Amino acid sequence: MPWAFKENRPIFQQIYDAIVIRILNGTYPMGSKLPSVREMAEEAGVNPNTMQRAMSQLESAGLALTNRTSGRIVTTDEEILKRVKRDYAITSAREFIREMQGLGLSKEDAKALLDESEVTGK
Amino acid sequence: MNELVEIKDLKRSFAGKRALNGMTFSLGTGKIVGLLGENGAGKTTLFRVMTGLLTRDSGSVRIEGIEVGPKTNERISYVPDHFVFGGFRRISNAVTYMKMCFPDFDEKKAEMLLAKLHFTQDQKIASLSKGQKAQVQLVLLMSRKAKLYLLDEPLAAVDPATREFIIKTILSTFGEDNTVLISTHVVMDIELILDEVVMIKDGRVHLQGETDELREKYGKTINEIFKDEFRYVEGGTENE
Repeated sequence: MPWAFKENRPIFQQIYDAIVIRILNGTYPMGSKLPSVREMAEEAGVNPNTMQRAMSQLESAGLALTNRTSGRIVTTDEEILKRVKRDYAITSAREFIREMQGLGLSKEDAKALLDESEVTGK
Repeated sequence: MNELVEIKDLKRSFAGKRALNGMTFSLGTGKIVGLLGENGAGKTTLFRVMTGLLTRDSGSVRIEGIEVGPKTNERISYVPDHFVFGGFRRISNAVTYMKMCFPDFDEKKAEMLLAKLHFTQDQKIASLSKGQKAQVQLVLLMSRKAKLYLLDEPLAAVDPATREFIIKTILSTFGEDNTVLISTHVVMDIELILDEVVMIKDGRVHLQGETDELREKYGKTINEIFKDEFRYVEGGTENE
C-alpha cells in the first residue's frame, strides 16, 4: 500500500491514519515490531520529525508501545484495536451517508445501494 | 542556549538596489526548513552572506552564537546552484579535494552514494551531463558532517528520478543534530519533507512557520499559501 497525502491536512495526522489502518488490516500485526522512524520516513518520503510525531500519537492512543529492548511494537490489547476499528468505521460510514445525501439520496436509499453493491478488486 | 542560526536586521545592496532589506529570523537544530521566495527575493544573496562569500552592509548573522567567519564555515556545507567542481579532471580528484579541505568529510558515505548512482571514481567530470554534475556535487557536499546545510535550488532543472534521489539524500543526511535549509521557488517538490518554512519577499521575511501548523491554519497546502502570498499583479492589470 503506497503512501498518499493530501497536503492541505497536517501530514502527521495523515501518517497516523495510514499507520492505524495498516495496524487494523494486519499489515502490522498485533505485537509485531514497527519499522524505525527513519525507515518509515524514508519510505513515505516525509520528514522524520513528522513521522516521529505520528508515532508519538500512536503511543498516546495506546496502539503502540515503546519497549526498551525491542523498539516500538504494535499493541496486543484487542479491546483497543476493536474500539479504534469501530471509530474509523463509524467515521467512514458517516462520510458515505453524507456523500449520498449530497447526491439527494436518503439513508434508506444508501442502505439499499450498499446491499446491491459488491466491491471487486482491491 | 543559542539558536543554530540567528539573523538580525540583515542588509545588503547592489548598485543601490536592496537585495537584503532588514531580514530577521532564527532557526533551531534538527529541522528541514524551506527558504521560499520568487527569483530575486534574496535567497542566493542570503546564502552567500551566511557563508561569508559576500559582505553585509549591516545587521548580523550568527551560527551557534558566532559571527560569520572561518569558524562558522567549518560547520556549514553550502551547495550552490552552480557547479563548483568543474576544475577537477576526475571524480576521484574532487573526492580527494573534499577529504583534504574538510575534516568532517565522510569519504565512505560519498563513495557509497556515488556507487549507488553508478558513478565510477575515474569518470571524467567534463563528460558528465548537467544533471549528473548536480548529483555528484550534492553527494560530495552532503557527505560532510555539518551542522547546517545550505542547498540553493537543488531541484531546479533535474529529472524526476534525480529529484527522488536528491530528496532521499537530504532525508538520510538530516538528523537531530543538524539543520537543512533548502531554497526554492518550486514548493511542491519538497512540501512533504519540510518542518518549517521561511517565505521571503523583497529581501525581508514575509512569513515563517511550521508547515503542519500553516496547513491547519490556512486549510491549504504550503504551495497554495506560497502562491497566494506571492501573487504579483503583472503589467499593471487588475484582472486575475
